[in-house]
Amino acid sequence: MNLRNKLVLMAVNPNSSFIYWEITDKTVEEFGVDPKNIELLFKLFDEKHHEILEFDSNFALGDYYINHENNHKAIYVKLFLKVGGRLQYILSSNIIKTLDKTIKSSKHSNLIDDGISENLIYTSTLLGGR
Amino acid sequence: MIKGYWIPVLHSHLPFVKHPQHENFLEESWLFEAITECYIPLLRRLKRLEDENVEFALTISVTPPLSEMLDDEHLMQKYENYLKTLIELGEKELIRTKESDYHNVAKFYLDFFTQTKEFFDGFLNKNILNGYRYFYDKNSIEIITCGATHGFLPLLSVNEQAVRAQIKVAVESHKKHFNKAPKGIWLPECAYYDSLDAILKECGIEFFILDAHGLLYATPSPKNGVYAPIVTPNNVTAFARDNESSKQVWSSKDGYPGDFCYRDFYRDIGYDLDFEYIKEYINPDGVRVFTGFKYYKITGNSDYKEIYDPSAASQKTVEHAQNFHFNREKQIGHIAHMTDRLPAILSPYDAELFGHWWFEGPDFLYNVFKEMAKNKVIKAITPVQYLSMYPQNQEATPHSSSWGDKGYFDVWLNHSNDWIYRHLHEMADTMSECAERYFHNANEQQNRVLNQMARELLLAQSSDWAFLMSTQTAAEYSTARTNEHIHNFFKLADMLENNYFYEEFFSLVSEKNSIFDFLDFRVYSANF
Repeated sequence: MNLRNKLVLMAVNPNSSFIYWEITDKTVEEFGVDPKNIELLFKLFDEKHHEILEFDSNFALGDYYINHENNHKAIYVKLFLKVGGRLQYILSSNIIKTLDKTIKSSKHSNLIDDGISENLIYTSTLLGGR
Repeated sequence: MIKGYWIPVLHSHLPFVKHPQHENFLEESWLFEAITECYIPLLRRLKRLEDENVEFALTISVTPPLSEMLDDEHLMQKYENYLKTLIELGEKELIRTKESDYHNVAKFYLDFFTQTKEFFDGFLNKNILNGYRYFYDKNSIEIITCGATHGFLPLLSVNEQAVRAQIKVAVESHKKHFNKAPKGIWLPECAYYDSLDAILKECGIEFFILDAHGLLYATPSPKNGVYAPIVTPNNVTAFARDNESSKQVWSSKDGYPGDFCYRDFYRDIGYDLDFEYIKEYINPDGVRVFTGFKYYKITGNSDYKEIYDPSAASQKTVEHAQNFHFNREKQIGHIAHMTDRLPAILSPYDAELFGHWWFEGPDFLYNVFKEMAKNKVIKAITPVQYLSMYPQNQEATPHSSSWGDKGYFDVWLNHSNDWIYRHLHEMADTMSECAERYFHNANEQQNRVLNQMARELLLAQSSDWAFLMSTQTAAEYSTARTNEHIHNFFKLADMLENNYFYEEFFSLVSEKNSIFDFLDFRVYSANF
């Protein structure tokens, strides 16, 4: 199995995404940092490269659920390693399109409005359904 | 005069479960129960409709893992034994209940299982797929495919080749079992993500089905709502679920299956009868299981249950079919003036609802078709028939969605199952790399190892495992299966990498995880 740095972003729903990462000891050591004592910083950006939020972790392998607004078209994450008080860029995640839960026409038809109220995401209550 | 169309779609799927090292394996009974209570009863009703010259049209997805299991000699031998045991228990029950009020219902079950065996041995010639092929070849049903192992495509799309392989292998499996390429696909869990249509198009798929919001939130908004399909940017047609008709059948609370005179699913003699009497018909390790002999009707909302009356229940399906028809007619009347063509109502259901969860479901479906044929106001059609009538449809980009709880990906990605994805993605990346590296130069043994790696990857990707972890039903088995395939995959990768061959291990996994005998690992290469 190849050991490689990983930073993978996945959409969960319009307001939440999931990210997992793995940073190899080799990568950390290249910056003179002890793998047992690391500080990682994650920054979430939108499609215009505007920073939305950040979070940190002390684990080389981990995951996190990110809650965000759904008014961005796409998002991605950049991972940094803290080296002597400075941020060292390590890698970027894949870019995901956010799940834009809106009616795309300003002129609603009765059919769409009916559909939204009648057909609003129906959840099966029967065993065997999803 | 026809005022609108009804497009019923049944999604038939079970994960690939095969344990040749065990004579009895609890999870294998998922298949045997579904064959007995769902697939055969449905095929019997379709045959009856044909014999009675009643016109019907039904779309059924028979997923690749299900097709492979229905075509597996080992599993079908076990199924024959299962059916024989049920008939033996039925005969014992006839004697045990001779002087009691349960005698009629016991007789009903013996007849039911005996007729099931006759149909299996006779019309089906001991192969369920023969039944599907029979109606498919006559164009009275449209069989569509699914992901190769029902992988949840939006969450696999981190590696696009993994998605492509799910679709390509599915198409090959369909050709193997049904002798022609599929025109349509039931996306696993109805899950769509932006640009998936490009891969569908590449694989020759002409249509797929979205949940309602997948179409209602499309760009631009669909002018006919969910009552007509749209065409995606890559020229694949997307139909959408109508939730009004779905709810009437799906909901255990408000839907037909909850009627008090229908059979109660949970009360079963496997749990109710004395252990000494029933022990030969439950799990050999003594764990009580469902036997299929269920003697009570739903009766009400309490634990008090009355004896099931099959004839009254069957009569009730006529009433419910009439009600379903009445409501669709009313619904179409309400919609018709707003659409630019005759409305089409697409109602997808898990096939296992009909017969397994809702025992009388096959009778209901049979009666709905009869009702439609009699009234001639609504015509049952398939998506293919629809597209031959309406080849031009509005262009729009579907909205990423699924038919899971809350409509997105939460069911398959949450705290109970998120750990699987880093493994699935790593496996897919490794598989793609191996496919490129060995594309032209794998020797025979490496070829076998690589093909088995591809099988282990596909089996690990089954959305059922993440779903069952999420719902905490069979979570232990699902976790074990996921871990097993991850372990097998990397063990095989290690054999390849370090140039050795562990014969005993390879024989074991290739016999057990024997899905897709045609599989070529090169499907994971971008050059395939």
